Amino acid sequence: MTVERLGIVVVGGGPAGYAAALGLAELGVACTLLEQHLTVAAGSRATGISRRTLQLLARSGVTDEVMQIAIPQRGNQAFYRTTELFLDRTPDEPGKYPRVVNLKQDLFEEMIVRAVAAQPLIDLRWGHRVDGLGVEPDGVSLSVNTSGGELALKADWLIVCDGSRSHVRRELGLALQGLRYQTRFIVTDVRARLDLEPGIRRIWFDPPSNPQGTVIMHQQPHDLWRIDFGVPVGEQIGVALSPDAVRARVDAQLQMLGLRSDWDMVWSGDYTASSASLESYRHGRVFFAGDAAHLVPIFGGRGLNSAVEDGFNLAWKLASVIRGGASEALLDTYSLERAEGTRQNLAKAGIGAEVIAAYSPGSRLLRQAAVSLMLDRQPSLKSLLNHRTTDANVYPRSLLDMWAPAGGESHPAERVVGDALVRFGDGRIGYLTEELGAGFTMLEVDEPDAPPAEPLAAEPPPGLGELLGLSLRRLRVSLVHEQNGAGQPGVGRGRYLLRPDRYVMAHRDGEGIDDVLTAVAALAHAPAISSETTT
Amino acid sequence: MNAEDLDLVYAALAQALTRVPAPEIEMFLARLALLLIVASDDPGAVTLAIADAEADLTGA
Repeated sequence: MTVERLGIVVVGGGPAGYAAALGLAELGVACTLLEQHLTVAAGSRATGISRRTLQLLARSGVTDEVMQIAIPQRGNQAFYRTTELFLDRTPDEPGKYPRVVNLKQDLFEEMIVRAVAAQPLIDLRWGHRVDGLGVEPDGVSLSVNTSGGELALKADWLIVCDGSRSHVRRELGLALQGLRYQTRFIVTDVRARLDLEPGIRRIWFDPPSNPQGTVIMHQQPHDLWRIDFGVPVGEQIGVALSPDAVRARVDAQLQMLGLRSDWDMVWSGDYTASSASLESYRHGRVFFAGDAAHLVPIFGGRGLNSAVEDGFNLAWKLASVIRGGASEALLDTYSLERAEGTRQNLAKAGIGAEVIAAYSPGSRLLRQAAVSLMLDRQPSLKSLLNHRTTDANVYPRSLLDMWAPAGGESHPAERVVGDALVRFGDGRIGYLTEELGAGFTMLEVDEPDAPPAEPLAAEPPPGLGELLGLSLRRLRVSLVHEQNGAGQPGVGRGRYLLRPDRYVMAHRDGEGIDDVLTAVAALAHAPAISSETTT
Repeated sequence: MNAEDLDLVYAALAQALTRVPAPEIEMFLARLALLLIVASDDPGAVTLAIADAEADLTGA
């Protein structure tokens, strides 16, 4: 059988695989993406698209499409049975994008697939299932099943994004480590016209529609509502999943809300809140991303969004190494940073699992105690029951974090380029994220409302046109106060070096940034960080 | 807290536990724990107390 030799192969569509492919293509690197199915997966699954994901996908045009129909999350409302515990509306924040927007994952994937299909550097092959693989010193051999028969491929690099039940992970003898919660959820999309304030995420503890359980409702575009029912302990999941049983739960919930019109069930499935991760996301020439690398409880929207973060984090590092701009030590930072991101996500999502899933008798007792106290006398406990949405991860221990000459702490938002409203060198006012290219950016930020900044020379000085084999763009802006007078997210005066995935590598106020450039350039010859990851 | 205060607080807790119906004692203790957590300004001490309370019950 002829072996087809390929550079980068991505196994598995979905948010992680598509993000990695787009990230590579934006940097001019080709890849082949193998998806075993013939279409995107059906159903809701993830519902919330974060600001960070919107920023990362803006260059490919996905974000514009998302924003045309997605519903911004405007707040959180919680009930004990039918008594309102609180309604917290999200304050207006400066910036181009909302913190989170609601959109069913299958619709999101259709949009991102359109962007992938429009990229000539991405060879998207539907109906290609990886059946076997062998890791070799110079690449990975793949046996692929297609409708036309078996194919033999050999990839220089393999990015594994084949989901929570990853076949490749199993083939390599790797297992996720961690706790699997016991509480199961029935998840359904229903089409209904409900007279409810738009964009509010609602949660009921022990409601009449699902006694001893939890119900969560998210509004979706096109009159769709995503409803999650926590299945009480003792109820058989097989019985709860039957169409009649799901309809009975939806009927009870909509009746509780006073709905009098008809509704349709569009889709239903089940979900178990899980918390687990691989120890390392790099194994030689094989990288794991998305659910193949880690499982995060859904509460807070960290599944899809962390998958997109994985894809873009890996893409620029792999592009740099392939171009000969950096040693493979840069690839080790992918695993170190994203495993740290998973630890942060699990810590934040864990409290959601404790409170919302309440997977043990003790968890349920404590939640009941918190709710009863909130009703009586302790509003300060509200934070336990409130929604903690996904936020950007920070990597203070990464060798790529050169925030300040002497290190130092900062707010997480300051490590990521925000949606600051700025005046560009040509006098035009716009959002900073609109002007960032696919490579590195040397950003110089002047005081708010300073006169229009002189554009930096179009031609960078010698040695500054490229960094680690990727383009280095120079951009000078001044801050502009938004009409609501709010401060600018994540940007202040000074010089910044921005990574291709828009993380701030360094910020220098009133000094040069040459030390950073020198340190970054040294990555071209850095030794591997972990011997384990180079096996 | 000195010994005299401890005596008073312990007695108040014992009397409350006597008044609370037996099926509600778990809930009472959970509510009490949350109220004490909210009142405390020392998360480290609370975490240690949780571990101490668990010791001997789970073998942790």
